[in-house]
Amino acid sequence: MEAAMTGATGLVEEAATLFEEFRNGGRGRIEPLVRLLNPTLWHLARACRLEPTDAEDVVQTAWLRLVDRADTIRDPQTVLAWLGTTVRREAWRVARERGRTLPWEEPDPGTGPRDPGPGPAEALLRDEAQRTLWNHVSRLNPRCQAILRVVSRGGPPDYAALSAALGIPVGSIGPTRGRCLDALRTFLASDPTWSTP
Amino acid sequence: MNENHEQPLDGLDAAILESVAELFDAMDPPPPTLDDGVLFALSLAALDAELATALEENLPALRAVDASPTDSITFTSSALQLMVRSTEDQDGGLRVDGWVTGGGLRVALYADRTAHWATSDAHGRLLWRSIPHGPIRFLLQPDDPEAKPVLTPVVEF
Repeated sequence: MEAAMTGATGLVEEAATLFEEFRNGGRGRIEPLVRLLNPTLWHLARACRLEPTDAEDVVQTAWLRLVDRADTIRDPQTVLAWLGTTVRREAWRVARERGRTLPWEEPDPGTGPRDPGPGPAEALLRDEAQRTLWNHVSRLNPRCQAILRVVSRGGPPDYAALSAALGIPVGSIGPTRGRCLDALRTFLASDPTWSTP
Repeated sequence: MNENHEQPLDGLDAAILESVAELFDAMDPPPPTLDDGVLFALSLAALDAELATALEENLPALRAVDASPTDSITFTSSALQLMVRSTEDQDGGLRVDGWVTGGGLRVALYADRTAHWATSDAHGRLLWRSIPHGPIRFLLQPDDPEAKPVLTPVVEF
């Protein structure tokens, strides 16, 4: 727990520091911030079911907006949440254009097992433990998969920020994450080939 | 708000979440072009350039439908106009011919984030050879340092 929680706080703190440096030092200094946060923004965009090209575009748009409106962000601690919100809103717009919905907009179908879709993913995973984990993650409903994918990034640790980035009511973040994790834990516990990392 | 249902993460949850993060990084990692693409877009934005508009090209009525595969497009901005036409070059790349309103104007063709600079001749002509296929855009740098550079939208020939 310690490691994960410190990791999450660390990302927000580090982003805040780099964002301050950027604001004080000019546009040329945005690179470290971009490199720090892009993996998280990528996973958020992809969790919104965007195609890879759309996901890249949306992440790019979020950064362009940030640079444009950097002065309007009062608290540097919120920079990750701000970017996350922008990515999600843009993803929403693109998903609508493409006639799709976001996984967490759908009615919560519960966390019960579903048919694991045939995934090209498995072929990509050389690591046995990862294949096992994916077998179970892919049995979760899409909403849970999306939420765990983002939450696991050590994203915004405070629920207000995470709620903003995911567009889920703040009161639902904890319970939803809890239910999804519980379901995954149950699957894993019943799998003798799984050993806790 | 009621955060009573909130369950604290225990060590196992944290370990599982960490594995989930590694799983998605292995399955669907950020593309290697992501960072550079963002930085490139930001550096173009920092130029504070005027965005040119692409005009729907009015193709000559006489042009046959099965004419040789050429593509042309015209961009306009408040002060400048740029027309470009591309044809296949012998080496499999693109030959891009351009005409711009004015001689001695520096114009960059950006392909895959590399700038290929050319200067228009007295007749406003520009030429680029061996340009890789893919999305490209142009940046026009007016002589007048007070004037804003002009950036075109991305096109693909």
